[in-house]
Amino acid sequence: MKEELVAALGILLVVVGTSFSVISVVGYLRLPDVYTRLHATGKVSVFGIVLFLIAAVAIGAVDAGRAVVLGLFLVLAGPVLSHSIGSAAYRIGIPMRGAVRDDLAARGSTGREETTAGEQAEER
Amino acid sequence: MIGPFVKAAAALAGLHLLLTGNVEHANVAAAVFMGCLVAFLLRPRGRGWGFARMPLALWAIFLYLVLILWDVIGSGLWVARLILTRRPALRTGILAIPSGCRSELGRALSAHALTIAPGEMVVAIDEDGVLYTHCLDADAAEIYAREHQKRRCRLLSRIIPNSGEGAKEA
Repeated sequence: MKEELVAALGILLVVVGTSFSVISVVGYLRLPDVYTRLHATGKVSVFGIVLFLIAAVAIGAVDAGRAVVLGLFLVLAGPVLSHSIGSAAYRIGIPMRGAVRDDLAARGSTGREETTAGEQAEER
Repeated sequence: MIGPFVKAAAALAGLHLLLTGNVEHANVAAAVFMGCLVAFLLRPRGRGWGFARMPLALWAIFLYLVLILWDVIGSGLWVARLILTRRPALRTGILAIPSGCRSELGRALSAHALTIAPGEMVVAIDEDGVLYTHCLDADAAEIYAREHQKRRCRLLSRIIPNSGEGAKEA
């Protein structure tokens, strides 16, 4: 009985995780520019994959320790990926659609140049 | 310099063993080799953690991880709801949010945590530690993000030595 309940919970988590992955794809199609799309792909899909990992533990496909480490890697790497793509998009001048405010552009117009981590390291 | 290297190599070797779930001699040797190689490439430096502040730091790490986990769940649900709304009410913008941290590691972790938070994504960091953050709701994020960043900075100052408040305001 207990095993059946855990298996049912695993299947439920797979369905919910798949739903979130589908929603992230829908967000990619519906949202207007690269920056807003990164919110959809970077956050909703990470949440979906975390649910998949929990489901894998419940079903018994993955050890709990390994799932925790994989989840941590995912949570660590996902935002870095979003940041990298968003930063690159801004640097090459891809515009934001319908933005009400841009402090980074305002800072650039005051004459202070943005420096990358690499440039700061070189200066040191 | 040997101490931090050995600690990093041991931690990485342990991580390899945990991920592979195999403690045979060949795999342990591979774990030690990989750990030493990656530690050599990373060239870790000592952080000066004293035993006296260790319990406080561990408690701060626990709270920080809980905060991150809460943000992962919250941002997943929040953005999913926004996507499924018939007409998403987007008021996007890039806001300047002071990290409040002096060290580069503190700023990097702040940027990471802010990118996980609902509706926020850091696109640039300047030399003063100001995080330029793309927000889906710029009006709401103005207050929310600053308050949360102050809380994160307090936790990070307990976790990372010499990483307290000190960045200039935007």
